[in-house]
Formats: sequence, C-alpha cells, structure tokens
Amino acid sequence: MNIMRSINLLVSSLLFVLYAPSLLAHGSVVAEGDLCLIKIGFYTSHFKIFQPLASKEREFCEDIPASGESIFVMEYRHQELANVPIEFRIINNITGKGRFAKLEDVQAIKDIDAITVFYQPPTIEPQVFTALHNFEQEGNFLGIVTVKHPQTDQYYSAVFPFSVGVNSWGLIPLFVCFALLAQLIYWTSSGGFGRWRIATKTKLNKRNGFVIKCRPMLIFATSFLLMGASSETTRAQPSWVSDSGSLTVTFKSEINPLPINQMHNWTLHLQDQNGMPVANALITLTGGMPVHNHGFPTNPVMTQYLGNGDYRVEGIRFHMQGDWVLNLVITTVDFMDTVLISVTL
Amino acid sequence: MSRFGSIAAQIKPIIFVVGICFLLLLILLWWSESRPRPWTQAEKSILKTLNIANLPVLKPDPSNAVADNLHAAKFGQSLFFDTRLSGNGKVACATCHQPQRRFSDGLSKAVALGQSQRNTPSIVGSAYSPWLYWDGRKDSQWSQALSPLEDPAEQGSNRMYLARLISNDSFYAKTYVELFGELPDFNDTSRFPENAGPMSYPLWNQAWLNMTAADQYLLSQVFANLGKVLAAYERKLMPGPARFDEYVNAVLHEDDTVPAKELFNSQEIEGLRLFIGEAGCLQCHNGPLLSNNEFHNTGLLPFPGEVPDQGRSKGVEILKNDPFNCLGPFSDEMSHQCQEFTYMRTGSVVLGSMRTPSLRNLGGTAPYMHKGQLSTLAQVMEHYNAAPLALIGHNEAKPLGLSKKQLGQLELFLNTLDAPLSTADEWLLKPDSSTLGNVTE
Repeated sequence: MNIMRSINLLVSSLLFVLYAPSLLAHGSVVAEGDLCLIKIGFYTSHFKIFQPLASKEREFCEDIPASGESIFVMEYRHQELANVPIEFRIINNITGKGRFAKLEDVQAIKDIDAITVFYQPPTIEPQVFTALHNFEQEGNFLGIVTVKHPQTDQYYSAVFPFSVGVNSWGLIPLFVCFALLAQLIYWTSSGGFGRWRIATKTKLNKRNGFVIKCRPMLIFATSFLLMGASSETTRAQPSWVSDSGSLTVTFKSEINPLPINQMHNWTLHLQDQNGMPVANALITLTGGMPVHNHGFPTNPVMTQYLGNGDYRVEGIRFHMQGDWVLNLVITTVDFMDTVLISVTL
Repeated sequence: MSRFGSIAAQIKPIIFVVGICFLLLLILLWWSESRPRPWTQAEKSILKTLNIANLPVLKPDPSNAVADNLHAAKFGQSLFFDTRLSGNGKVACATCHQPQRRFSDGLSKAVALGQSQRNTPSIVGSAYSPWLYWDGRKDSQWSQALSPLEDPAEQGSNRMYLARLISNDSFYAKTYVELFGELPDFNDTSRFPENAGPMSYPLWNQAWLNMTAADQYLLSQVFANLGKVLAAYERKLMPGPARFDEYVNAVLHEDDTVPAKELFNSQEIEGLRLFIGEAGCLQCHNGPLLSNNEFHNTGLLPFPGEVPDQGRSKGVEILKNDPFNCLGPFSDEMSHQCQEFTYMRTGSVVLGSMRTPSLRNLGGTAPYMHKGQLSTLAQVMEHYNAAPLALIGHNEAKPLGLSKKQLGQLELFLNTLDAPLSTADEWLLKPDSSTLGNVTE
C-alpha cells in the first residue's frame, strides 16, 4: 500500500512539474523577464497590445481586458523582420484546445476565412508592425502571425491564444479538477473506500483521517500557491541562461524598480546547471539600447565577489526609458561564457 | 494674587514685543515669498537666446531662385487665396491656413475635400525650418506647397489642370512668364490632356502615365514653379514680438522705460523659470522661435481608430523618393550641397517622432499635437508632466513631477508668447483683384 501511495504521489508531482512550464508560455508569445516576446520560426520580436481608448498607454502581453479598439505592436528584435512581408490574422478560437491551441490545430481548420475576425495582408513594415482591430465582442481568439523566410519560400507562423474581456479564472479550475482526481485515486488506492465503509458502520471519528486523506490535495494547493508566488518573483527577478547553456544569471538591484538617471549598484548571482553557485569569476559588462543605437552612459564594473555566487556590480545608470541590454562576459579558470540580459524600464 | 498680577504686568510688554516681531517676520516671509527671485546671469543669457530680436536674418533658399522676389511673393499670395486651385473650386491654401488663426484652422485634423491625416500646422516662421510637415517629409517650403494641391483629401487638383489655369489667367500668365520664361503651349490635347497628374485619381494618373517623359517633365516644372512662388509668399509670414520679448528686453536692460515687473506678473515669471529650468522645455523648444526643428517622440496616444503614427521614420523614406526634394531635378540648388538632406537621422531612432512646433503661434492654433489629440494647453502640460510610455518607439520626455500650480504657471507663461505677426497687413489678406500686379513694397 505504501508503494502505491508513493507512486501515486510521484505521478501527481511529475504531472504537475511537466505541466507547469507551459503555464507561462501561451503559444508563441512568451514572457522573458519583463518583456513579452513573440517567436515566429527563427524570428523574435517584442510584442504588445494596447487599448488606448480604454486604458491609454497600458501594455498587455496577450489577454486584453475588454472589447473595443485594440492595437497590436511588434517591435522587431530580429532585424530581418524589417525586410519581409508580415501577415496578421485573428480568428475565433474554435479549436477546443483553449490556451493550448497550436499551429497544427489552426492548420486543421478547413475554412479559416469563415472564423476570421481580422486580416491584414502581408506587408513590409521597415520599422515597426502595427495593426488595429475593434473587437465587437468578448471571447477567446487566436492570433496568427505569418512571415516568409528572407531568401527561401519557407513560411513561419506564430500562433498565440488570447482572450478579450473574458474574466478568466485561468487554470485554477483545471488545477482543482486535477487535485480532486489525484485525491480520488489516492483515496481509493489507499483503501479509503474500505475505511469509509467501516467508518460509516462503526461511526469512527473521521477527523483523524482527514489530514492523511487530503494529503495530495494539500500538496497541490501548496505547490499551486508556490507556483503563483514563484511566477510573481520571476517577474521581479528574472533569470537568464548563458549562451553555452551552462550558467544561469540573476540580478538584484539595490533600487527597485530600476531607476532612471540614478547611479546604483547590482548584485549578480551566478549558478551552474546543478544550481550550485559559481565562485571567483571575472565579469565584464557592456551594453546599451540597441533600439537607440547607443551604449550605457556609464561604464559599470564588477568590483567584488561577495561569496555564494554573488558579485557586486557598481556604476549602473540608465538614462532613458526603454529596452536595455547588458552583455556579460564571465571568465573563470575553467571556462568563458557570455550572457545577454535584457531589461525594460 | 497680587504677586501674580505684578508678574503679569512685567511680562505683558515682553509678550507684546515678541508678538510684533513675530508678525513682522511673517510679513517679511510673505513678502520675500511673493517677490520672485531675481534672474541670475546664467538665466539672463538663456532668456536672451529666446528673444525674437535675436531671430537671425532669414537665409536665402538656394533651392528656390525666386524665394526673395517680390513679384513672386505677390503671385504666391494670389495663389494662396485662390480657391480655383482645387478640384471642386472651393478650397484654397487659406482654407486650412487661415490668417486670423495664425495660418492654422482650429481643427484636430484638417478638413478640405476630405479629412487629412494630421493637424494643420501654422506656416508662420516656417521658412526657418529645414523640414516641413509633422514628419518632415518635405525639405523646402516650395516642395511642401505642392502636396496639398494634388492630395485628394486636400485641394484635390492635378498639375495639368493647374498649369492650364495659370496660362489662361492673364495676371498669372504674365507674372509667370516674367519670372520663369515662356509657358509650354498646352493647346495640343494629344500631348496635354484636360487633367493629368500622378498620385491622384486613377483616371488622372492614367492620363499622366500616357504622357511622354519630356512632357511630364515640362509639366512638373510649371508645377514646381507654382510651389516656388507660394513659398516666396510664405517666407513673408513671420511672428512678431510678444509680451514675453518685451519682458526679456526689460530684464536685460534694466534702465529701460518699462520696468520688467509691469510686464510679467509673478505667476508668469515662475512659469518662465520652470520653462527654462525644471520643466526641461528648452531641450526641444529653444531659440527665438522656440523650436529646435528636430524630431521627437513624446508618447502621444494615436488618434481614435488609427494605429500609432510612425512619423519621421516614414517621412524620411517619402522624402528620399520625392522628385521635388533638394537634390531633385526641380531644385535650383546647383551645388548639390543639401546638407540637411544628406546628413539626416534615419531609422528606428526616429520612430514615432514628430517635428517640434514653434510655440510662437499658440494663440488660435489649438487643438495641439500632430493629430490635434490635446485640445487645451492645460492638457498639453499634463501630458508632459506624466510623460507616458510610447506605444511605438520611446517617449524621449521624462515625467516632471510638477504640481498643478506649477503647470498652471507654465501655461500662463506660454500665453505671453502669443503675438500678431510682424508681417504687414496687406500680406494677410486675399489680394484685391484690381491691385493685382501692382507691386508697391
């Protein structure tokens, strides 16, 4: 019975762990740090949605709060996007897969025009892609961005599900179902049914068994809360993987949110693939605003190793709002690696 | 009791004196607070740069050979007010550029034959700008003057029709010949159709395409010359000295007959202090015309129903391909210097940016901004105080954190910049047809 219980727990946990990453990525639009990115084949671009009439310059990543005039903006990260025609289509999400709809599901639709609510034919936009659609109704939609390869006839599509004005409970109902199901399996497998029958016969005090019976549910609840909490902290303290993939870098600014026109210091934290801190590395920093074609107004320097994989970086100043990048070169006696950190102010 | 009474009697005068001193101190504080701090030497030198007396003499326009020709200016003035220069015979340049409104129209977006894309900018002082239009898609006044004539939403005419109109009007034809030489003979309808012009209605465009390249060139030359006489007129429209300039003069020459304090109240002085200091307005609104004539993204929301305007980044591309630009065949610039054109900033740095307008024409030019998004100066002040995120590109302005009172002071100061034009009245009217051709000045 104990073995059964362990397996059950393991399976539930595994399910949860496997399931968790897809929560943060809806189709081709993903959050990276504070930025919202869309991946169209090998192209990447910043992606944002605005409802200027309703919420002025407030930025949305995918779900938008109400029907009405909505502006889709893509600011290219991959400069080749400036030279290729970009096609944009919004359809009703009839795939039945909700948030997990993928390109295959869209391709399976026979008459896409019948469910298309907005279509912008392929156009070359050298600076920025913009599209405007006035959503007459609330609901669930799929956005499809299609781009041609610069040389070949290959086409790439990005599909991102989003909701308009649907006050979504998100994945909470799904979680509750999973938790209840796991609980049921556990309860049955651990002989709960038998005990229940005895209990009803002997009028045994059920309170004693409550904690044990609800254990998977509790685990789910806790992990869900932790998930929520950790996704919050991910926003505040995102992490970046080095170009070789062997290092993960996080930073803490001594001033939050990141200030403009104010000199301040950071603590960088380096850890390897196993989550162990990386000690005694040399870090050099350069960077700037690629969009503005200018570098930093200062020359930030790593001044001290603080222990436990933490490094002090002094002299950081951002002199305007926008997207900034920091290029880190990390050198130890064993290896050299590079990381690109992007932040938006 | 009596002892207490004697102490009270002793203390009384002391309390009285302390009280009087306290009152005096309060009065002194109030007085120093209400009296504006005198201008520092550094501030005075900034004020001097904004004085209209320091507006440099207008440089010749090498791309326009008749730019400073008086006959051309008179010819241009007639064209400016002539509604025959439009597709329906009802729209002149002056329909949107109204003299009584500082040559603007009081609308969010211009309305002529249709609705145009942007807010009508004032023409006053525009001869000083290397760039015309909000997005700077024109690099001379004469080239700018051509676009509305053929724009279907504006005057909706075509260059063939306009050339015919000139050759059939005795005053226009006579002045044209004096300035530019003989007009082509448009009587051969096999070469010159009734209506023809690119970028307009399909029928006119087709007629244009059917013409030979040589005839197209002849026609475009006449068309360009119309722009050049219009520019000769527009070069005369200049802002006059405002109360602000009088104040600056008084501040700079303290021995002047009018003392500075009679010209500006304390609120206006504080507004001016913010303008040249904390509010950072001078970054873009500098010089005697209060414009750097550059392009900046200030995070304005798009006009309802429109995607964000890309502004200069598109303007640059249009300008490069414009046959009427400084390097084009119709420009009189022979040395092909065109430095402004050659070294202009392009690409994503100018995304969503618009040309800084002069602040000397604020009176009568509301609503403000490139689409007339903001209807009052108070809204403009609030916009810059908040400096919201731009939907495309980046807002170059930073939040100011000024109080409501300070924003009010800024607005009061801006109103002191308003003044009638320095241009003689005869240039601000539709010329009397009986005086046509009589150049007096």
